[in-house]
Amino acid sequence: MVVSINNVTKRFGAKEVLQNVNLAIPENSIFGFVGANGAGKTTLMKCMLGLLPVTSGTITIAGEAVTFGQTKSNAHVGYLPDVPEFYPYYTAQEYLKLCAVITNMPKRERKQRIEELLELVGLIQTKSPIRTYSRGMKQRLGIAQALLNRPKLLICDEPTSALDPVGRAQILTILQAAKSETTVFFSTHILSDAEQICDRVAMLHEGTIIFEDELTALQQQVDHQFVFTFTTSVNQALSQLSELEHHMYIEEDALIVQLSSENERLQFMRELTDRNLVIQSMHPHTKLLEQVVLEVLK
Amino acid sequence: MSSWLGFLKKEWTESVKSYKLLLTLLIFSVLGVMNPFIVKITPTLMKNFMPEGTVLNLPDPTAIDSWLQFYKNFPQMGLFIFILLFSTMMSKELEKGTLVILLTKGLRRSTVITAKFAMGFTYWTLAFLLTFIITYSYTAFYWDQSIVQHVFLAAGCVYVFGLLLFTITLWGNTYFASAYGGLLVTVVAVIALFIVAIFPESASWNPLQLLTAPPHMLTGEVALVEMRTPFIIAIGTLFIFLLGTIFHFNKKRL
Repeated sequence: MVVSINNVTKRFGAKEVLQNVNLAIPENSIFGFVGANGAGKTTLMKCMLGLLPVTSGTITIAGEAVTFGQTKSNAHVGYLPDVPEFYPYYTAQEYLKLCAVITNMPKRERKQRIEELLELVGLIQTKSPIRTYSRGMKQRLGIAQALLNRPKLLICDEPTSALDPVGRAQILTILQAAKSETTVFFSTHILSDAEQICDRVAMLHEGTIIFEDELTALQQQVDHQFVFTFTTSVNQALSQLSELEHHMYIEEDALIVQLSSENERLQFMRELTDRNLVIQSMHPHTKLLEQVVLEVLK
Repeated sequence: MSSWLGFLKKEWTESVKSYKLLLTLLIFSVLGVMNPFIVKITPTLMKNFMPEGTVLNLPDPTAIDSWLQFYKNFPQMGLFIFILLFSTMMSKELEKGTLVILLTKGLRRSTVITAKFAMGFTYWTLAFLLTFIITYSYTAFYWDQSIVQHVFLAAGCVYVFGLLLFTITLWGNTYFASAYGGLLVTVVAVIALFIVAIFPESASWNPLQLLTAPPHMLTGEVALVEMRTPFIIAIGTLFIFLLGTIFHFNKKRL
């Protein structure tokens, strides 16, 4: 595990923002950290970076314990804040050069690594100062600086929250590409973003982790239900199939049918053929992350 | 290049791009020229502005008058402008959050403070040398400077006092993380020193002496030895505030 968070509690005065949080992040994965605004996501991330002290508990990153203030664990971490702020008078290349000096990157490696990253984030042709950058360009530069020292862990705080759909897609593509050389831990309240690229997801609600699992496990079939659409209307299809004993219902112009075994599935297909019902599409019924979250919160 | 030098270079670039270098060069050059110039033209101005027939018996200006102008303009106008220019060195970064990325990259917090202090120190030295050298050159050109005592040491006292005020501003600016925090702390510190100066016995140690005594040093009214304790206390206080700033920033939640 690249990150181990053990019983972390964080209080601001009387307010308990994080309550006994436990989390383990496996290497080379994209770990989505979802939760509503104000759930405590940024606080936990800042504790992981040593920018805030924890009230109790421990955090370990790549085997190094995180300490408040100066922490050695940051040598393994790249961080993209929710609103990354740069020195406006620098160009992207100049800013990355400053970061390379700060991280003590060997001089001979700097030029190549900076160009490699600017290429990755699509800023290689941009020569203007950062003050002229759009929000999306700043986020992309933020990812480039975070990946500069080849960190074992890339922490991104809501990297897509204020971007337009094109900007969001660009950031998600870059994060997915970054997975080959690092572990990505990114927070978001946009569940579809987490769904698109994450291997694992944890949800923070009112300071506690209310679920944590692989996304595929969360998206698993719901009680062997299948979604069918037909060339005829779904209501007509349902009336033609009404005498069958399977549990069936309509959901968003599709027929959901519970078919618990392979025999039941085969039998159902025969019934469809007998009734001249032509299938347009068929797939297992899965739960969207959003549905899972809503169910958990109920 | 070490991360300390890298961050110092960033401070230098920032000061150039935000016109601090240009402003410092312009303002302190003008101040340097102003000191002897005011003394030189004052008799002519007085003659022109007085009603016709008035007999004016003004003594000829001397090098002392030029240096008195220096001690009027440089510590008041010059120091005030300098503190204003550099009063947001920390708060600007803390308010905008520009330091967060660099700190999470392993930049030491003490590097931030010491590099900013070094940059302020460099600029104050530049400002002081500009005004001092220009005033010195013009004064030496127009008048005989042999009557002035302790020219360099007297000016050195004001220089050290300026450095002390800058360090106090840096501490206030870091502690309160707001543009006005540093200025407020500096104003309170100066007021406190003036209040202490009400008691005559404090003159033997009050760092404010470094600001008020130099004109008297030029004429020999104040002996050099009398400045030793205020000088040591000013340097000691400066280091306490510098260490305090580092200590406080190390504990600051970002």
